[in-house]
Amino acid sequence: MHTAIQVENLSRVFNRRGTAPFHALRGVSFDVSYGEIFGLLGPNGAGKTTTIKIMSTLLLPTSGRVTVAGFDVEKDYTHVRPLISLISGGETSGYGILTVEEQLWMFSQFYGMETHVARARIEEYLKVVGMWDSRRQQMNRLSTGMRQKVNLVRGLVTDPKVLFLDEPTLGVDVEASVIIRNIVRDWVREKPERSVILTTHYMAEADELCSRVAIINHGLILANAAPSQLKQDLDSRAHYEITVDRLDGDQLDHITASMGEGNDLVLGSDKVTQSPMLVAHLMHESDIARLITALAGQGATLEYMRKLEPTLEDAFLKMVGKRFEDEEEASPVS
Amino acid sequence: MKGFLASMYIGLQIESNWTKKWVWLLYLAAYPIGSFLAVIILYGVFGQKTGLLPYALYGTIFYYSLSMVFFDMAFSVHDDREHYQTLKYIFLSSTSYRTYLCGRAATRYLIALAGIIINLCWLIPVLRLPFHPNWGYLIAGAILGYLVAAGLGLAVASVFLLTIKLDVDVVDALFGGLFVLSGALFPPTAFPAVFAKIAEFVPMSPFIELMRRAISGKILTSFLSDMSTFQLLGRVALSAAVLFALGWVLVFFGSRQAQRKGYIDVTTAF
Repeated sequence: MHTAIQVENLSRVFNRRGTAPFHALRGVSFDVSYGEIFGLLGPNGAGKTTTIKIMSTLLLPTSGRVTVAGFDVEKDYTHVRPLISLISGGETSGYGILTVEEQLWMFSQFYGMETHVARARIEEYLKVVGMWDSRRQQMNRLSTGMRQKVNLVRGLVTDPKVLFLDEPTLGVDVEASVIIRNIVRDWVREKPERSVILTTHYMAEADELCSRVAIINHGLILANAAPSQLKQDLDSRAHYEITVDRLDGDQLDHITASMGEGNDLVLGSDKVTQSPMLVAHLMHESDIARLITALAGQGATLEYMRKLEPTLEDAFLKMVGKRFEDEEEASPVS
Repeated sequence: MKGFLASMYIGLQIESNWTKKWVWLLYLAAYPIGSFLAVIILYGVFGQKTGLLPYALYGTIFYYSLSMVFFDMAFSVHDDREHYQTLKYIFLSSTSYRTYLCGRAATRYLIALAGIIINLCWLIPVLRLPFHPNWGYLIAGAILGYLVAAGLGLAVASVFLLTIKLDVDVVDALFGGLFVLSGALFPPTAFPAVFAKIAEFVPMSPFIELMRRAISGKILTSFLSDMSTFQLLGRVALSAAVLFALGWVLVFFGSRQAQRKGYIDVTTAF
């Protein structure tokens, strides 16, 4: 069986006293294969954490069905739980009075692990995250980044089949984020029967880690594809930014006419050098050669050129209609 | 079993790891004094003539062993959920949450018993309390007492799984109400007949009376005096089984309802 997780028509409604019911999920469906890092991307209140909570048996759905490794999360949760781990970011979870080592050992016992196996894995992963020397430090003495690394180790020590990462790098510094991302990537590569479901605010993180991404907003999946596919679907044209020593409006009209229909050229100026800067949206990659020739024909000398790649942020913008940050600010639900 | 022992371990760490070991041992001995000091003053100083000091003191001490457990279990739900933010991780581990709670209850019960034993070592000779222990009944009673305490604790925990804010008043009211009704402080035979009858069926009453008789070797008042100590043991066993089963079932339904409501990992400004 290749499907680690199957989510079918999942809905979740929160009934709150005195207010209208809140539809956190509205018929969400997707599946995740073994060996895959699957991203759920969306702003606050989009429904991604609700989805993870249901998949990890913390929350019951209003309707729909989720299976993890073939087990129904609602009915067969006792079979699901030994196979999964959840790591949430942006929190300071853990028993502050315990040392790092004690904390990790204790959770390994909740999974029935043999102590010698648990200790070996704890040592292995603490070394990987660079925290072996801090193993005897109490949890309440750790920085946010260190606590999050311990949280990650806690999730990995039990060797789950499915790892749920809910904003794992939220609130941690760049260095710790890089370490966490590298570990997650290597962990999935290590064994093909593992899979990761990642929710994140960070587009670059999803782009870097995920083999597939679902963009979710207001409880609906808007897209579900590989990041490269999402970006490609955004716009099939090639985009370039070209700075030249001189170019005026008449010359631009001339070049535009020579390039033919479908190729758009926008003239501006470089913010630093104030040189004329051309943003070119070309129908075909090969059109760039014709454009450079046309520029040379107008007596313009090339100073700088770069190809503009679409980002997941652009894909999000197209689907949601707002930039990620704008959507974050507008969202009333945390 | 590993999960149960790990729960006991975390319970012990939470209880003891906040200070040096010797300070904690001192605390262990001193903490229960607060619960029975008033009884000593009430019956040992002002109410000497009543002769109820042994009854009230033993009753209060053994009530303390139960109340500490269910008080602690109510708080553990909120502490794990809000303060430590570990409830969700425990909840979705291979160990059932009920097993975890029972482990926490076991530690709390053992700590309470340790405090009681330390204090009885000086209370019995100093206050000349009757002491003719039947060790068999004492040990059996102590084991069954754990089931009574854990059952009550599970029941309380099931309620607190479904409350977002920790309502200390509710626990206090329960704690106080059962203290009076269980006959820990004074014989319920002093109540009007209806209340006295109710007191007989308060689940803690037979346990407390069994422990009184087991340690003092006497029937100290007429409360439950129509029952032999062996019958009392049977009654405690029955109430322990019923309470434990009830608590076990209630936590199952409480957990499912908390899952439904999304309360397992809810945090507030508590």
